[in-house]
Amino acid sequence: MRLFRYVTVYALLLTLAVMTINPVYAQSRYYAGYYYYGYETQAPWGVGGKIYTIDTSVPSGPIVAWWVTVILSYRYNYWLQIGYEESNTLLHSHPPRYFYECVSRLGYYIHQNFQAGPSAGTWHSYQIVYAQSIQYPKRWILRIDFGPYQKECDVDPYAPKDLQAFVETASNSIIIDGTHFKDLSWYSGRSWPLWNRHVSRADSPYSLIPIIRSDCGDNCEFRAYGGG
Amino acid sequence: MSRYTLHLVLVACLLITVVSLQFYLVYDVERLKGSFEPPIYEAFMSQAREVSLEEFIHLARSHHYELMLPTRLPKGLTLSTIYYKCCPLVAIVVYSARGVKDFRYSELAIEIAPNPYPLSEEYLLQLNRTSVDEYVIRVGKWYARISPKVEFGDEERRRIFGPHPMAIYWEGGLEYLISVLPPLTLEDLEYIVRGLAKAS
Repeated sequence: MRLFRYVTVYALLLTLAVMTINPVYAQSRYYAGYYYYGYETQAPWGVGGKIYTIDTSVPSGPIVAWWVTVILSYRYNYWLQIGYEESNTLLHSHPPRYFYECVSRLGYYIHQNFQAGPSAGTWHSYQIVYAQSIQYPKRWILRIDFGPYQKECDVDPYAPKDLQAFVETASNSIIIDGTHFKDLSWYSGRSWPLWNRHVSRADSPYSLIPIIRSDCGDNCEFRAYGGG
Repeated sequence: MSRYTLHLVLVACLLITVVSLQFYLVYDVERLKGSFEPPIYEAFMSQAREVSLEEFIHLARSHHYELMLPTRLPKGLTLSTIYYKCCPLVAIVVYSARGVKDFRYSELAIEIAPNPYPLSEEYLLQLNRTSVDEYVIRVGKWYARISPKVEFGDEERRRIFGPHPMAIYWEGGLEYLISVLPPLTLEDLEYIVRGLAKAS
């Protein structure tokens, strides 16, 4: 009987320990940012934007990422993505790191890290653009700050369907105060016009502050905050 | 004495378990990150609306596109719904024998969007000689690329459905992503693709 009691207490403690250590297993995803919404029927062949780097307090387990994305298929959940992320565990904490993702029928390359990351308090430019290569027609280029960190990805289907710019967290306990995206742009084939329409999204407990500008209205810049 | 021993053993077990879990987490961070993905389904459904076939054809024509749709379907399959989103323009035509309207799980779905840069005829024709994971068949005036084994980008559906066939067809400035899920087969997909014709 006593043994049964001990085992019960042990099981309860173990459950508590697991829940404390690893909230990520019971998590949802939280997003704050913009969906692109254009005037044209054709999706742009590139997305760009500047993202301010913050060093947030990431609890053990969960991660947070700031990114721009090109959607390649809604039916298939295919995308291209570039940005920076932060993650943490009790024994290891990772400072902000650049990452990219290329997901299509040609491969599932998620959270590929560059061997570097941005410093807190700095702005960096993130771009995804179609390579327009006759030899490699399925190729896209993902780059940071116009070249120092760059990756080429062959994807299929290769035509863009949509664009997004978001901060994404794995736990609502992550504080994203200071998040700031600006100069969100799309590739016209020759130049990078600013986004001129958008649909915003902010999952509770996060909030968005659209920044109104003379050159793009409230469509190309926003701040986000909340969490904790 | 035995009482304290039992306590010590249990506490030791607890500590070992907690530390092991933490080490597991350290090495498992990459897997945890695996579930990071943009809000694709929610993005589409929050902006799309359901339209009738007649309205869809009319909307496409208003953008100067002529639609190609199946003229024949495997037994039991019927049109469930059509989702239309603009802008950018993306439409998903959903077919099912079970009345499924969710395009993520329907047996047949055709995702349609503009693509002004189709693959060249030369590139397409050389695929039958060089490619190991896709082949090309002629459909009407152009070609359809068929990939017998394609997987979804999300973990859940990769686990449920595994590899399945998909075709990519281009005509008149529109790209058609045509995919079938079990019980439909590669033969069913070819049957559908070869029966594509202008919708009227």
